[in-house]
Amino acid sequence: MIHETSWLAISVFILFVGITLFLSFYLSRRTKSAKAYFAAHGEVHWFVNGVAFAGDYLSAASFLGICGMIAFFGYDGFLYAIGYLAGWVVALLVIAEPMKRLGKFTFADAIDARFHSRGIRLVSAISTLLVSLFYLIPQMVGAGVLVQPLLGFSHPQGVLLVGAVVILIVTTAGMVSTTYVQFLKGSLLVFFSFVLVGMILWKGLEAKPFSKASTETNDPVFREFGPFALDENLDPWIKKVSGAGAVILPEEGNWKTKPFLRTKHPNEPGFHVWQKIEALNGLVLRECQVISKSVHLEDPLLINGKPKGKKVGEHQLKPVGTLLQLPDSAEKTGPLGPLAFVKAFQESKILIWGNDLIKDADGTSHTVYFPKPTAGSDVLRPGNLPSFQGIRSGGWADKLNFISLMVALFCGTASLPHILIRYYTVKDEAAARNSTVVGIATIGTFYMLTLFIGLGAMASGALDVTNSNMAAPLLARTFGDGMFAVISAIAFTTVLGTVSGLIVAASGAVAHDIVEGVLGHKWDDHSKVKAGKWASVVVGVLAILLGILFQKMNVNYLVGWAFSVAASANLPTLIMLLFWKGTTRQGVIASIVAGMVSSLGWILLSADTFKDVYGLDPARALTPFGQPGIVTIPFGFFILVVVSLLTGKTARPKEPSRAY
Amino acid sequence: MIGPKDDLFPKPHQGGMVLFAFFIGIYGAFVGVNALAPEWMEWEVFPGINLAVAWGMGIILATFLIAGNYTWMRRTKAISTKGANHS
Repeated sequence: MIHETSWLAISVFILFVGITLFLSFYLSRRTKSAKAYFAAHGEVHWFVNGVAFAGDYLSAASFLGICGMIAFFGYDGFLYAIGYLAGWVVALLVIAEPMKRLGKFTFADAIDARFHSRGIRLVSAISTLLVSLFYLIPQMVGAGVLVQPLLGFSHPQGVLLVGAVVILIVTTAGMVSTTYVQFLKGSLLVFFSFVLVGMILWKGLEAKPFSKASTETNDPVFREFGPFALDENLDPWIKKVSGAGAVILPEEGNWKTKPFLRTKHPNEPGFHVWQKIEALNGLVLRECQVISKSVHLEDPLLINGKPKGKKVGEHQLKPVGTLLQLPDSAEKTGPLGPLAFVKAFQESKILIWGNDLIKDADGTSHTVYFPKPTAGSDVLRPGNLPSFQGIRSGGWADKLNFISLMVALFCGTASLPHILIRYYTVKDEAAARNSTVVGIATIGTFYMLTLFIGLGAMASGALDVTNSNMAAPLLARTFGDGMFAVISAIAFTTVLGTVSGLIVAASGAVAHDIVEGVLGHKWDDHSKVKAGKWASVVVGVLAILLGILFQKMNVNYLVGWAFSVAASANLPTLIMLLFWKGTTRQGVIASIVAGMVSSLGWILLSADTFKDVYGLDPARALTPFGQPGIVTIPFGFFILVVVSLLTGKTARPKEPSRAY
Repeated sequence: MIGPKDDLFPKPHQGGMVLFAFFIGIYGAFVGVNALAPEWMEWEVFPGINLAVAWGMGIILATFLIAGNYTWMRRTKAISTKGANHS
């Protein structure tokens, strides 16, 4: 699909970035002390902090990723939303108050409150850095994905732009500006999601059945012909759709085994691909779209065999996302209530898209996007997402993989460093608790809305079949350029906000934990802020480089990694310190290291990494499934208990004076 | 390991732990059914609303209820201890 640069979108985007930067510079005058820089003076109002939690947490993966997943695969995207929210119950009931009581600037403060150990400080700072960087990569990659179609920048330019703006936000006013940017972003995101859902429900649903017209249009309507008797001569039909003299291309090479038929006019560039469906009463042919990547041409990307573009002789992908049939075969539903909307969806027939990669002998690869008419009741059930399909058909490994992901999401939230440091920006424990409640209300409301935004996009007739991340902005475009501009700009601010939070967390780990806590360097307040700023610049530059390097990685996949590593490394310690008095210093260190190394090792040895990162045969992977959480989180607990038991008795007589 | 610093780690709030156990129950069962018997999720609880959507939305609503309930519990507790100190 070709995304036209919208000047309105660019203007709104510049306005948003302008406001953000103005706010940062304005607040920088009040941000002189370390307490201000790392913890926003500890004076942020709990309500503001609560909405800022939502701002921190609702990253690009949440907003673009979940809406896109629901729009393309239905219910499974919502499973992610539920997992992401569930973790907040752990944060509220277990983590919030102790975190505030024990810490000052960083996660390591809280973990180390009992033991005052350099070892604990070092390993928890390393885990903070590692998780922050893991979480930064998908945010930066997401920024590149977003900026490309919106502003017409290349991926590296987009990442560079985000990196530069974020470094400015963080170095001007640290946690103060980060908090207010998050508050702004969180409020706007939820408010405009409400507006968007209101528009979706007001517009209702509309059926766009297959067309039998001979010529194609740019409308999101796809053609279907037949049924033809199996021995019927297709020539009249070929003439109708591809002109007199057109032929069926021979089924050669890898096309032989595929259920596709290609028609081509010898004097014209390009070809059409049709999906062959053998029904009871004969052969049905449905229009497909194909992207070809040639190794010979200068511009290697062809759409239906023609160069990408809008001129004569060029072709562009048609938008997708249609309902074929509404309940009672109605044409339109008119305005719907939320329940009636889901009900109508459940009883409709929806056109979703599958894809198939076919390679020619000369190295050209074709991705064929073919229509898959699907009952609404099948879209609204779990197991459509390729990575979740195993829960319906597969063996135990697939089921465990799914459970493992849901466990990691549940346990990971309250272990994410940029979430944990937000507990230091409020006054006391009651404020920490209240702000978590506000966070849950804001985030939960947003996730409820994502189901409607995702399903609305699925029926919007505006999706780009190649890019699920663009579903929400493209849906907004169907309601006018203004809405598109605002939603795109909010999506972009989403990236800015989350990245700033992560950079503050990482810079705190470097300046406060490692240099001051571990190396014992004594800083005055002013130098500490300066060090924090320099650390932010370094982490920011690192994030830019990683964002460019990991350009091709799937955003949600990387977020899954971050949650797994955070949960495995941090959660066992956080929980055991609260619930078990026998926890020892050595137990804490061993558990953080074990959780970090085992989850990271598992990820690096998994089939997904073999395939996507090393380019190796996934069958050679050493782990039975991809998501480590279900194994490595209990492993972290196990190591903590065993090491604490081993060291507890011998250490007891010497306590508490000797700490490291 | 019991030393003077351990008052930093008081026992977690009991009512909160009950809520926590309750939530683990409904979330755990949800994940379990999705993984082990996903076909149950297709059952229409209300006309046009299947179990998957109803349970998913239910979990979101449950987090709201838990958050509200916990805030309320902690508030009343704070008032009662204050009262106890005065008496």
